[in-house]
Amino acid sequence: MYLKKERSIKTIFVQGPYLGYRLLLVAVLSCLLIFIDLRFDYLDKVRHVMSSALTPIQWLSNLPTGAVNWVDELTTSRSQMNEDVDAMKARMLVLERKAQKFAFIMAENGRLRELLNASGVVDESVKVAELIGVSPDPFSHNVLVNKGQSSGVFVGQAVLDSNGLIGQVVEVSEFTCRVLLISDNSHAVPVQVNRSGVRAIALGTGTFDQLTLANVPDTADIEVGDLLVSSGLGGLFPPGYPVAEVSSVQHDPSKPFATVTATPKAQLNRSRLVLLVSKKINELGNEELVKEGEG
Amino acid sequence: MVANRASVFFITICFITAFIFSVLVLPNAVSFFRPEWVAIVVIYWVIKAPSQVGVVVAWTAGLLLDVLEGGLLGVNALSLAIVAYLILTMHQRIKLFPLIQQSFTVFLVVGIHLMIGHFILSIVGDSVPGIIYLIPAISSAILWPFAALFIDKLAIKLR
Repeated sequence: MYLKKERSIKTIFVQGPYLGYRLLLVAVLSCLLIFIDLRFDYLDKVRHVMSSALTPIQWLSNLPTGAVNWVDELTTSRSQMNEDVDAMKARMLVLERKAQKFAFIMAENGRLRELLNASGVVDESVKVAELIGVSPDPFSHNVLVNKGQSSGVFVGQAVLDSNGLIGQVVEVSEFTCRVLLISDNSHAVPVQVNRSGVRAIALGTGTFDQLTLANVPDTADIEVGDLLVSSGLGGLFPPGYPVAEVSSVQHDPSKPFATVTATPKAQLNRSRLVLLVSKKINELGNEELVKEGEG
Repeated sequence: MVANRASVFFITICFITAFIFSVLVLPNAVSFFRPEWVAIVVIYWVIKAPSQVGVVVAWTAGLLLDVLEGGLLGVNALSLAIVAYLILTMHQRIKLFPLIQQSFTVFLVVGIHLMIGHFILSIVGDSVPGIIYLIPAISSAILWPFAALFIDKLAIKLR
C-alpha cells in the first residue's frame, strides 16, 4: 500500500518538469540515428540483432496468410489436385527435355569459350525460400523472406522467381532477409535488350507492373515486345536473367530521350516461392547446382 | 490513484499486438488505410498510465517499429516520442473528453505523427507525392473509440 502511494505521487512530479528535456534527449538521439543510418553502416549490426529478436512477431503476422493457405489446401478437391499433378508432370517433362539439351549446350559453350580463350562461365547456385511478409508501407516495395544469415544469405544477393528477376537482398537478419523489389522507387537494374544488345538501366516506378528505362537515346534499337535481360554490368545481378518486357516506346521530339516503359516478367506481387541466387565459381559444374537447388 | 498502475505485462501484450497488426500482410489497396496501431496503443497508455508509458517508452516502441518495417532507423521513434509528448502535456484533459472528441484528438496527433515521418523522409529524398499518406490518420481516428473501449474492457477483465 505504501509503495503504491509513493508511485502514484511520482506520476505527477517525475514526468512533469523533465518532460521537455526527455523529449529533447530522444529527439537528438533519433536525429543521430537517422543520420548514421543514412550515411554509414555502423548500425547494420544493431539492426541485425534487433530484427533477429523480432522474428517471432514477423512469424505471427504471417500466421493468417498461412492459415488461409492451409485451409485452401485442405479444401482443394481430389480431382483438382490430380489435375494439378498431371499438369505439373507434363511441365516437368518439357523442362527435363530442355535440361537434357542444356547440359550438352553448356559443355559445348565451355569448349567454345576455351577455344576463344575467354574466361569461364560463372556458375550460380540457388536456394529456394518462401515469402513471409510484405512491407506494411504501401509506398515502399520490399518483402520479407524466410532465409537469413543462418542459411548463408548476404546483402546484395539477387532474388528470382520462376519467370524472372524480383529484386535484391538489402538487409539480413539471423533467420529472415528483406528483399527490395525491382519496382521500388529507389531501385535500378542494369539491363540489356536480348534481341539487339542495347544496354539500359531499368528504374522502378513504385507500381508493380511498370519499369522505365532511363536515358535511352531516340535512335536506340528498342521495340515494343523486346525482352530485357539483366546485363550483369553492375556486378550485383547475374547476367542473362529476364527482367521485363518492353510495353511502350514513345519518341517525343521535345524530350532529349525516348520514353520507354516495360512490364516486369516476374510476378512481383504474387509469387510466394523465390530463388536466392549467388554467384559461385565451381569446377564441379551442374552436379553441385542441382544439389543446392534441392536444399 | 491506484487505478493508474497497470500491469507491465498487459502493456507489453498491447504493444506486441500492435506490432503484429502493423506488419500484417494486407492487399496493397487495403494497406493505404492501415491504421497506425502502435501510435494508438501509445496514445492509449499515455492517457491511462502516464507514469509508466511516456516519451522514452514511445521512442523505444518506435525504434522497434522502424526495425520491423525495415525503414530508416529513428523516424518512427522520433515521431512517436513527439506523439507521447503531445499527449502527456494534455492527458488530464483528454481523459475527460467524450470519445468523439478523443477521436478527433487522435486524428490530429496521428496526422502530426505521419507528417513528421513524411517530413523526415522527404529531407532524405524518399518521399511520395500527394497527401495519400495521411489516410491512416482518418482510419486511426475511426478505430480509436473501438480500440479504447476494447482495451478498457480487457483491462477490467484481467484485473
